[in-house]
Amino acid sequence: MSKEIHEIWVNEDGSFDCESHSIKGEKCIEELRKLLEGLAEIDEFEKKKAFHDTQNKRVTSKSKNMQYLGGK
Amino acid sequence: MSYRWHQETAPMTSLLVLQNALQHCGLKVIDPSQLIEQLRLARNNILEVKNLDQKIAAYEEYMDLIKKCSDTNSLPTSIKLNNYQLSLTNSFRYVVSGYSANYDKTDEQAMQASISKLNDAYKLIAMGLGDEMKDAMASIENLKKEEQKKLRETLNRVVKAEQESYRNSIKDAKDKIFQIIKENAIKEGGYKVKRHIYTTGKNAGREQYVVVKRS
Repeated sequence: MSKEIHEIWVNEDGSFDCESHSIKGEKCIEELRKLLEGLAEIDEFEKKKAFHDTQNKRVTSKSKNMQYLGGK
Repeated sequence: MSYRWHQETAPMTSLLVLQNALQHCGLKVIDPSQLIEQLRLARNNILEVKNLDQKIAAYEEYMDLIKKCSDTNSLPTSIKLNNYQLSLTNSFRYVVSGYSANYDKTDEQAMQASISKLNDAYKLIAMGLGDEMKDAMASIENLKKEEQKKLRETLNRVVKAEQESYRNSIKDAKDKIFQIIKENAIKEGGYKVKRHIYTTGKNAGREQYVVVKRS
């Protein structure tokens, strides 16, 4: 069983920073878009190496496929 | 060639601070809400009256309005200014949209400068709540000790009311954000949401929502 994690940070001024673990590629952005619907549009993001790593299907819970997303 | 543009403000949660920032930037609100107008008049009144008793009465009136701001705790959904209109988004930002028929960027650039000025003013005022009152205290001369004490006490209450109102506006905004994220998570299904509020350490003032899905 795998665990998909999104960490959504709300900063003191109300802006958002998001970071996702164990989710790869566009799926991560899609899921975050849904979770932040009505709150923020993801306008810039920084892809981690794992973003393009679609070959590696065996993701263990220890692997940290982190994608940093700076939302609005 | 034509194009559409839009500019967004920084997140804004407090009507009290926003009204002050608009006034600070010299932006005149057209058809303002009753509360925005009352705040503007109250601030002007504080500056205009010279007599101590009148001054204290003006501050008391202003404090009543601060309480109203905290009670209603709602930002206007749109604010009409001289050349443009600010429309509120769910993420506590105002948006200004425009259309340029000939790809002329003048309007967009002017708007960028104006929004940037408003953002700076909002931030500055929010961070410096209380400074204005210190200045007010310093500007009143020739007061007897008794009078100074009376004014100082009033100013302290004003500062506390302003700071509390601003803090509450942020807290309410974060509650609303968390609520929306929770609702979205339920809608998508399979997610669990945990909320961590940080009051100390390097993340003080920030909140973290951990959204987990097992598959």
